Amino acid sequence: MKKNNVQQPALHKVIMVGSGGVGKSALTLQFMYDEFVEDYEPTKADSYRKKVVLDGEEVQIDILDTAGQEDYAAIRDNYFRSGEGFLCVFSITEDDSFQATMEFREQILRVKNDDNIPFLLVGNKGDLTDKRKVSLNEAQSRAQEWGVPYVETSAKTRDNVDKVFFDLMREIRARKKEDVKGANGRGKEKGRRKKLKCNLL
Amino acid sequence: MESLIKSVGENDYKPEKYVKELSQRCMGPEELLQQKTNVESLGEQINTMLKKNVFYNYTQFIDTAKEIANLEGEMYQLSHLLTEQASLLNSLASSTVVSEQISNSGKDVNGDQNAEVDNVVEEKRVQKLLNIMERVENCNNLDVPDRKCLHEGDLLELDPIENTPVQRIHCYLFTDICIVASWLSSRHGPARYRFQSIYDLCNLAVVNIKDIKNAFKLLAFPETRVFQAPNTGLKNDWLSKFEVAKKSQISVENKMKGTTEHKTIQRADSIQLVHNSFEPEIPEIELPEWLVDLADDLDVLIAQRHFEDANVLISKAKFYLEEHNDQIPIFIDLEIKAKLEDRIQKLTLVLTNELQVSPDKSHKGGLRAARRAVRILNQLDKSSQACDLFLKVCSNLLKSQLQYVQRDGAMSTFVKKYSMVFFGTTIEITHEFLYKAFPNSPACSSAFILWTIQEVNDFMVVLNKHMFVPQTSLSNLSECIKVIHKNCQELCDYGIDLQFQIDGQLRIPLTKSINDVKEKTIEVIKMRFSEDKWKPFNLKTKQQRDKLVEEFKNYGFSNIESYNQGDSWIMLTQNTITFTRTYLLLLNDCLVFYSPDLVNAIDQLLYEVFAAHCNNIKSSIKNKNFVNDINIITTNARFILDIFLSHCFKIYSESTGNTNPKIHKRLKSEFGVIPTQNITGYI
Ligand SMILES: Nc1nc2c(ncn2[C@@H]2O[C@H](COP(=O)(O)OP(=O)(O)OP(=O)(O)O)[C@@H](O)[C@H]2O)c(=O)[nH]1
Ligand SMILES: [Mg+2]
Repeated sequence: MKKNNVQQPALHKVIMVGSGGVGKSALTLQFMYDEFVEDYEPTKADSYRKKVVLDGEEVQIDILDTAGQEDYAAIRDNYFRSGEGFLCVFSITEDDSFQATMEFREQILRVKNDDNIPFLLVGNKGDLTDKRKVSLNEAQSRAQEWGVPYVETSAKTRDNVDKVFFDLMREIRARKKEDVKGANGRGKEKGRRKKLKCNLL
Repeated sequence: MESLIKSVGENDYKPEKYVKELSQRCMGPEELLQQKTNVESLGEQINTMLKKNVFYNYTQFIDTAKEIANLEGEMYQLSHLLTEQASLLNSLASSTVVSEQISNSGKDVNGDQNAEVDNVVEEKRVQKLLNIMERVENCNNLDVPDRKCLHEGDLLELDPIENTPVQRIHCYLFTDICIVASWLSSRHGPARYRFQSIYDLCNLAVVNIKDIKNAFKLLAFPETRVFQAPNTGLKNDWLSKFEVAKKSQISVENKMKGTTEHKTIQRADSIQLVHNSFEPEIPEIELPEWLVDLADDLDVLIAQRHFEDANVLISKAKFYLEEHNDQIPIFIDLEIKAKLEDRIQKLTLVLTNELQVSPDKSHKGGLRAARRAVRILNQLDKSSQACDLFLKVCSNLLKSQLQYVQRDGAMSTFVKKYSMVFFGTTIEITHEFLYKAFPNSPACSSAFILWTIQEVNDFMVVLNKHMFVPQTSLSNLSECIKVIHKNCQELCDYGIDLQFQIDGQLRIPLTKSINDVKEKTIEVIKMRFSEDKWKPFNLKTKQQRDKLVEEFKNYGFSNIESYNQGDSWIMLTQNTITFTRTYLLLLNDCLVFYSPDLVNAIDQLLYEVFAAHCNNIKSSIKNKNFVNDINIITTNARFILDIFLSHCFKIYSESTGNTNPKIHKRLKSEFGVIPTQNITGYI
């Protein structure tokens, strides 16, 4: 049984992070099952898996939807460790959630010890334009500063939902290829990590 | 007559008026005299009625007192049961609610959870860990302080990529780790599983897998393991247990981080440090020097056995923490409290060891030596534990004191000494317990009452074994019981009444003894009559007879001299004299035991023995061989039935308060008429 020779599709591990109530679960469910959930039910840690075709190649995406609630902050490290790429979500209607993305980013970089980790800044609830508190400019400049893409989504209207997941998977796939190449010349990676440490200290 | 009783009973009855009316109505002195006798007999009637009433009230009072004594015992038992229930519930509560248990060690410094419960919980905890180690082959030592098993169960492991079943496993969740073990295919010995992996909860994340039924993931970077529970309920159990464990672990960790951050109390710290560079800066707070050194100082004081000083320091610290509750940052507060609690436990342990009964420890001065430990334990809110241990010390003291009582020699000497030592020591203990060690503690008092009841029961078992052997006479028994009652009364002055217990223990063997004596005495009476020739008793000399007359006068037979005949004779037979002596002795012994429980047996004895004697007289009268001796038989019968019987029941009434004993009446009606009948027949 175990020596089953069927080639398993590549597995990309995506983690949803961001403050409570910004729409991580809503985005995940929309992507997984094409449905939008109106009720808010705080998440603890849920995982989903789905087979998708990424640029003609069949892959599997593993989504870990984490808790945004503050009281889970202390145990996030262990979740982040297993991620290969991160969707860092905030709500454009809530400035606090935008500010919180800084902490998430910092924590992810610390845990993964890698400042090139596949990462997308996601401004969700784009359908609520009249309630916007975070300007496109602000968000874009922060993404630029971090050297990551910024995408605005709506879990409600499904705007850009597939895009953020697929874009992230592409980045993950690219990183994996890069790592295979870099396995011969480790120096490069080490240098990258050193740089990160300097940043922090 | 009837109208008289009625009018006397009326409220507005006036004697003067009544007599006046009466004398006006009466014609001549005869009628007046008749009325006088009427009034007199009425007086007598009322008198007996009053006596009956008094006796009735008296027996009711005794019955009530008995019921109350019973009830009291039950109340104490109930109180004790309730205390036990409370501590059981406490232990249940603390063993089921994980988070609370963990916070207990920190926050609950002033908690009144007694150490006894803690001990039970601790024992269970360790036992459970040992069981697991036995069941899991190749398992490391799990017994780490404060580690507790929170959850366990069978799970199916799935391949994390393909979701196909891999193996059946058994998983254990502890407060700080998680262990995965595989099933052993062949079972030998107690082991059922083989140890496979251990995960530190710090490095573990649990994820609910939404799209595989009843499955969840353990992320233990870089490893990921997927498990499937048998049903949704069990999966949710696992998820919530993990969450609780993780959360409480983090709170423990935070507490420890707090320690490292705060430099002023760092040096006294013995807890393992967890360093974290991402800890936010914490402003330093000036704590008083003594509080900083608290843990160290307490260690020293305990080691040097300055228990009082340690206790004073503990209360000082508790008071300080209470007072400055809002000024000390929570993590420092928790830290100090945790350490304080730790030292309190240590002190408690040392003190309880102090109280522990061991064969090599001298029990001399045991109570006074225990007093110190008990006092401090009380102040530490560990009364119930102290009480239990103290009572064990008491039991031991009592046992050793009783051991010194010599068991050879006369039974009554032994019983007297044994009783004296028992009650003497118990009085000493009672004084120490109720006034020195545990004043104002109802829970401990009821434990003490139960203890005394237990001890007095044991005591009576030993005494009964010595007292109730076939050769013991009632006199011997009554002598012993008198002493026991007297000693018991002395204890009663301290508020501990054990008479009820003692009488209860005596009832069965005493009843048996009384019945035995009855049979034996009747046997002897029969024998004496078979030898009786119905001759006047010749005492040979005047002196001898004077001595006998003197003896009987002392019994209260004032006209015994009227039976004298000649210089050395007396008209009573030797049999009569002997019976009189025997019966009086029996009566006096019986009256010592007299209690509501034994009334029946005693009355039966007094009745049957007397009746046996009378029946023998009756058959002698009918016996043709004694036709010529009928005069002397009648004389003796009259002495027995008229003089002696009344005499005996005067004594009986005086002692028991029963003015109209049934057996007296019964004997009178059954035998009172024999001699006269037969005399008229023969003369
Ligand atoms: N209008 C609108 N509402 C949204 C959108 N996304 C999420 N919501 C609503 O926001 C609320 C919170 O959404 P969730 O997806 O549960 O939030 P979350 O980030 O998973 O929160 P945690 O699980 O607590 O971390 C829900 O009531 C959703 O219906 C969106 O794009 N537009
Ligand atoms: Mg959610």
